[in-house]
Amino acid sequence: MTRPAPPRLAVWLLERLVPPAEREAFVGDLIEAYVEGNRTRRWFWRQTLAALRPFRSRGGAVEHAVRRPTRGGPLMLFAGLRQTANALFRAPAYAGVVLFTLALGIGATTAVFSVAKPVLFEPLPYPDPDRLAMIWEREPDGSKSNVGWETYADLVRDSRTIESAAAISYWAPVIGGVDDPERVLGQSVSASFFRTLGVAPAIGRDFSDEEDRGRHRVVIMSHRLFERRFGGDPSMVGGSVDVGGVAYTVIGVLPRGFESLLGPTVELWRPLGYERGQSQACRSCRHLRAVARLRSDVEPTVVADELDRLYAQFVEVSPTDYSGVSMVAEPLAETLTARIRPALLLALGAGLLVLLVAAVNVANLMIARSLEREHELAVRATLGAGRGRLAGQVLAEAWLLAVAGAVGGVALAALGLRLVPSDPASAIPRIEQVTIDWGVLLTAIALTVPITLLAGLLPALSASRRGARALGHRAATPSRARRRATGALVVVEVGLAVMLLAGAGLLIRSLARVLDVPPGFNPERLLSFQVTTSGSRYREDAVEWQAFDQLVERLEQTPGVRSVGFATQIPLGGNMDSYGVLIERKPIANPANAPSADRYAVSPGYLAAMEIPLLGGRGFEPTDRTGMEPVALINESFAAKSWPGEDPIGHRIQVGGSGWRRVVGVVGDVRHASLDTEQSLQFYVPATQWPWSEGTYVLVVRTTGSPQALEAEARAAVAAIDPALAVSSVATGEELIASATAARRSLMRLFQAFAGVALLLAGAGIYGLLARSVAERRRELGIRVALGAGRSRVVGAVLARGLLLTGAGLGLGLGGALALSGLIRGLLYGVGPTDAFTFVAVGVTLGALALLTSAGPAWRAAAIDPIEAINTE
Amino acid sequence: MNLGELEQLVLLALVRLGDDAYGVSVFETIERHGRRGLALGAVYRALTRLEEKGMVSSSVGEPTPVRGGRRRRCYRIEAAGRRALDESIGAIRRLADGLDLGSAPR
Repeated sequence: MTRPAPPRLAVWLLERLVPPAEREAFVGDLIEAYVEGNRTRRWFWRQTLAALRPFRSRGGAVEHAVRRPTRGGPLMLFAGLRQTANALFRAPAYAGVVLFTLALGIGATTAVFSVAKPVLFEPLPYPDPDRLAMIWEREPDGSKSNVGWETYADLVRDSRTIESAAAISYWAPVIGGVDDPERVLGQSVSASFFRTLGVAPAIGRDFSDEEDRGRHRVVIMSHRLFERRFGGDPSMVGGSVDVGGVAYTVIGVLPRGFESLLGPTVELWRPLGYERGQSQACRSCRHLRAVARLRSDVEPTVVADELDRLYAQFVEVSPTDYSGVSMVAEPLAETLTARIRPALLLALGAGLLVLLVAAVNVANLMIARSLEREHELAVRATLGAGRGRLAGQVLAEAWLLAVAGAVGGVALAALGLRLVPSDPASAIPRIEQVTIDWGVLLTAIALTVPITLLAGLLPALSASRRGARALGHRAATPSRARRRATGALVVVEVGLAVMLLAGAGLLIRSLARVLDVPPGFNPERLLSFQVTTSGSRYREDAVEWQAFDQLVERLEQTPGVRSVGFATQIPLGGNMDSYGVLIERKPIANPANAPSADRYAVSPGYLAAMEIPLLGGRGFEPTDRTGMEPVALINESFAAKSWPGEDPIGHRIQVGGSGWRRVVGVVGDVRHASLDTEQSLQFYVPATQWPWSEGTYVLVVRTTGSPQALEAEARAAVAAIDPALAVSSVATGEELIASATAARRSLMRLFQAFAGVALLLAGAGIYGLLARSVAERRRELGIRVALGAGRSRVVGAVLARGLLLTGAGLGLGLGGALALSGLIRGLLYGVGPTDAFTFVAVGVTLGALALLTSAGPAWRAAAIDPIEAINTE
Repeated sequence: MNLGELEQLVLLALVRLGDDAYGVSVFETIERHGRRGLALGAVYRALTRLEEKGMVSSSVGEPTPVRGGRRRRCYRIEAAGRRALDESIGAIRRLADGLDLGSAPR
């Protein structure tokens, strides 16, 4: 019987890896021994591996101890990589803990950095983004407001510093007609909009100036909509699409990479088409945003001067239309990131703190390891290994761990980023751009290198310094200096963790305070959804109101529904409309200075369905319709501001250029924009008494059971009235509250997670230090017990050390938190940055941590048997 | 000059094998005399070291089919090798002479 051939892969490996001088004879011998000697494949593999791993079998301990590095890199950082790896494999617990710690720190920082990078560190994705600016009118109180169209047109006509500009208006069309109606977000824009941004359609053409005058039914769509609804078929460009029951010609599709930063979920654009003299184009109709591209050769101060001058001219010509003090050009990047920037910077800072805690922890672990290996290092030094060589090896270990830790950290970050919602509508601008790219990786490496050098340097230096001297007097207690060094590191670690904990505590308290704010309506068992009409049959407002009345009636008959209403806007619903209000017999010199109030055009049942309380007078009745006396309700804050100490009922107000309407009741305040902004003035009018119908209303349904369960039936009811009605923005009352606090909640969660990690690491640091110190002082403690020191004193000493370390860390951390409190101030609500309750809670937590981490070592110290302790070694 | 244990074994095998010694025969001779689980690579390293010290010499031998046409490298012990072996083995022999090492008689 012929023997099977030796494993082919093994031979292949041997042929490549055995040194050429020995290769032919060796491989031949091995095959011969295998075949003739009747040996197993397993044997062959073992022989192969043994041959390829010359290191293992070669030489004894002495040769191993003093061997020069085979490849010396700069600073011998890569000295004996393999030796280093072997050494680490022999200490898996140590290597594992260091790796995990580093990965946590690097992962935390990398994840936050990759979220923050597109917002904080990258230019906007348009050509010459520095020249893009938003143009606002500035109010006397410093706030910015939108502009009216004629102001915008005058500005474009007169300015010498603006190269190109565009006005932008909100648009929420329904596309797809009866078959498959879908409400999408759109914008009505000046023809120059895309040119101003520096973007051109990828397919088809841009708007022409001609199309921006009068009603031209043309649209440009996003690449996403193009693919989603039209299968990415280029032949549909030039064809028509049903938009709100009207045929629009699709003239262009934007490039796939186009980011609509001025409306993150906008998918459809049409020309604005305003002209002078139109009612909606008036100067005080401030509903347009204006974006401008400034000339490249002008300084910002020149732009500011010109805007001031032009604004003064506008006010001179039409004084009753302006209430502001000037116009300002705000860099677009600032507009987009101003709100989120402090939160992201804070999160980035928190990530760096976690990384610092991790680095300190690793430094501590490395020192501990070099202490444990003191004997080994001393033996090596005695046998002739140079100082540089020993330090090099300690550093090489640090490097290897750092590289592996960085890899693990980036993996953790990638995992963590999956938890971040990538919805463009979320609170973080450009969130869909978040990826782990080269920039992020380089940052992770840039963070790791200095950290590792710092963490590894201390033990490396002490390893080289002690050298041979340490041999001989080993068992004694470690030197006071070293104990102090590790103690100081633990104190720093605890301090950093305290700072994170204080931050997390303040954010938790803020969220609790925000959630304590009554929204003014009852969010429980409430379903809300937007219904938008489309099609020519709704040209008549009466038809539209009738359709909504039918819808209310139908929903009211649905089992599980208690009451139904609708409104143009609902609180926390994400859109708003406000109007200046004039009050009869309280004349104001300039109508533009009239107090601004949120407007709600509502159905008679709206207030009852929302459970917004009626505080005085009466609510709306079905009889408050067109043709009857116009009426209005105002909120409590409005009444208090405009009629302090008086009864507002019976007085008359005027809004939006329509006639006088009588105040018939006062209702409770609701929080409209968010829970944590100032209470606004609000008024309600019957939808049918508003001069026009808006084509879209938010239905609110108060249910007896779970509101989610009713969604399907609500949709069915809408379809039964007219299948061309589009339903969008379905949300329960609780979801409205949750989304209003989403940004605050995610920042708080992040801080909680980071603080938890830091606390865990700090706890491990304290525990490690105490456990080591008890182990090292075993003999000393044993002798003390033998000489009559009570066990309680031994335990007390250990506990006292733990408490001392924690206390010092607490002091350091609270000091740091106080020093940095200004950074977090802007993100707090209802608590100060030095909130005593939070700081006391942090102190209590740390106390518990100290006891928890000291208990084990203390118990072990108490259990020392003096005889045994003295006899060992 | 001191010899390592494996070097002693290799030199002893070379003495036994005479002129026809090569990797496999050295390896198997040592195995047969009770040192199992040895790596051929270790034997090769010992041979190379001994050759560097001038205790053995080598020459290229014949290819055979079973080796896939690869040639052997044949080894021969030199005078220096015999001297070193005599020194280290002699000391062991003299020391061990007449001692009962406690192992079972063969």
